[in-house]
Amino acid sequence: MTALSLLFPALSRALRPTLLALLMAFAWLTPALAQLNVSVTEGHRRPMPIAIADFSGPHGSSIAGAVRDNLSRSGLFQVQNPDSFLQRDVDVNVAPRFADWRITKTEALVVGRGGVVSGRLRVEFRLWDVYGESQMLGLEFATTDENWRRIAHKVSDAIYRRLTGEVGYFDSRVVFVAESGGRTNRVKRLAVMDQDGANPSYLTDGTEQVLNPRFNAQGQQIVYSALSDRGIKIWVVDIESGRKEAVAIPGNMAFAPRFTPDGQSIIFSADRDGDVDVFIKSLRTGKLSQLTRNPAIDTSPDMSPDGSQIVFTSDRGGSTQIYGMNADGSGLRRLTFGEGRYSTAVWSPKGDLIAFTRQLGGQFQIGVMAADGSNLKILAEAYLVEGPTWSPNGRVIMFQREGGPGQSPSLWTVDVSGTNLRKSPWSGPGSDPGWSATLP
Amino acid sequence: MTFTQSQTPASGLKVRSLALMLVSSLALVACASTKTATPPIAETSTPVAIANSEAAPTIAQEAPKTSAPVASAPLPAVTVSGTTINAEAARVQESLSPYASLAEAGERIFFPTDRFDLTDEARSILTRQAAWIKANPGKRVLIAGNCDERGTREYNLALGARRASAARDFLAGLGVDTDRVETVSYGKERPIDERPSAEGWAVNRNAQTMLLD
Repeated sequence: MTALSLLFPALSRALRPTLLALLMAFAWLTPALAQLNVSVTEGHRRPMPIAIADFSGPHGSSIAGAVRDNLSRSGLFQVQNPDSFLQRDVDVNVAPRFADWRITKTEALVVGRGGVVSGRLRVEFRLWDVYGESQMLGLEFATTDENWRRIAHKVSDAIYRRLTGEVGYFDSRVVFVAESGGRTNRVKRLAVMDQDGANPSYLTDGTEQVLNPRFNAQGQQIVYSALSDRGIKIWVVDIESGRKEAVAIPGNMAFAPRFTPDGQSIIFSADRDGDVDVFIKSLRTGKLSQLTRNPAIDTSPDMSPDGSQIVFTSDRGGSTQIYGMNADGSGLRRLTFGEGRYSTAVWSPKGDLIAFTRQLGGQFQIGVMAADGSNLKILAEAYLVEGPTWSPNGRVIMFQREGGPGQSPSLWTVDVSGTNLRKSPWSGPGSDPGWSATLP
Repeated sequence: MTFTQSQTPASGLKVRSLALMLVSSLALVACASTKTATPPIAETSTPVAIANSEAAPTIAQEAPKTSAPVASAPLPAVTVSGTTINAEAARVQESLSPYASLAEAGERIFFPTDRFDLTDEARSILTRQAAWIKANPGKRVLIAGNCDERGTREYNLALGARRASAARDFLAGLGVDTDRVETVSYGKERPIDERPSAEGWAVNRNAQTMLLD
């Protein structure tokens, strides 16, 4: 393949870029172009003004609209209103009139075109540096017609990566619990949607209350717990086939499940006569191992991306705090010492940070800290916030939020920098989000 | 991409939730009398005259909180022939309970914030439950631990398990066979009081004992 396969190793068969040398991206980097980038680390000082012209061809304006929404919600870009465009006759194969775009202070411009070739939708686009007057990126994607939104997400990820230097996160999905009914007779169904709230579908019928669903790293399976009158059980559902399988665990209460990074085991907590401890079970061999043995509550375990460490919630020290240990249960250490009650620790995709929930002064908070518990930083606070989950690139955290007493839970996002707090485009009541890796 | 939706298997189990009690009923159970506690009713198949109010387990220190007395009307005398079969004996024992039902004994006990130890009031209600359970040998119960919404979901599932277990262990200490007691936690998923206030949270921090069919 070409240089493009090096740049985008994850591009799938489904979206196999028939993209050819046709648009040799990066061919000529000018000095001016080197200045055109966005910092995602320090809460961006200034969003980059970018214009995305409607693509020509099938789904053209919808694709451009989805790209605009993605980039706008990232908080890193100031997406120009198409009504302000001076040049309306853009063509993917012709250099734009840069001077026109500079009048509206647009720094980056995206022009695209779609067409149907052999029954498949093919979309090509170019990203232009308006001030450098040069092409920064040119790519083409192909897929089935009904999958056009994924092309929009792939385009968004490519632009994000080119301009920020970071891997994108737009072509990903979120599993969550869709809630309905009153507060005292809550219906909780397993649901999955695109990260931008599109294409929602339900995987359970609401007979049981679904809690804390999470993807495996491969994105093909979801593990969750389901509460019924007589107990709570862990299930694994395969997304493609829809097949559900209960994980056999002794006792009638097993919950707080997550896949291990290799997808081969689940780590969870289970009740033994009122004592809740952390366990790990291999889905391949069925082997069950107990990792904590303490009369206190030990729950919400999560294994680090490299498989070497586990963080979990425990009240063994008298108050609820976050602890760490080696993957075999040895080397126990307490990670949080501050005021308040700490719980639901979750590793970042790179394994460098841990997101958590804290209760303090009658409020709930979402925060992040280094893997050793240092450099604690609070990102969001409300009457209730809990259940943080990381975007695949580790730049955004999604969580459940109830703004005030009696409010329905909804899904919100905040940048790890602490900026860009906003409600997810999913408008209905929702809780317990679990973000997938970027799709293959 | 489409998803096939397959049905989550129904549990096939039925829990008979006895008359959902509201807060006010908490006070109701703490009445009866202030006499010293009597031992649980002995299981016997000999003819018994009556289970009267003296046989009721009582609350040690607590004064009656409401004027509504527990309805523990004297039962008619029962005579049993010497050849009573087991089922007959069970029926007789059932009639020995000072409470007509588990609900009358008191279904729910309540807990302070983030605690699972039993208050005096909780102990007295559990003592009454124990009397009913022991007087109804054919019955099994499910104790469900519940929490208020001021904790994280997974932690609350664990806390509810502790509350249910604390109740079960107390019943066991009174001689209830633990094979007849199941426990479960509903965490913060099944509140009974909608109020997002200290009063509502207090009601939702409980362990409920339900009759299993």
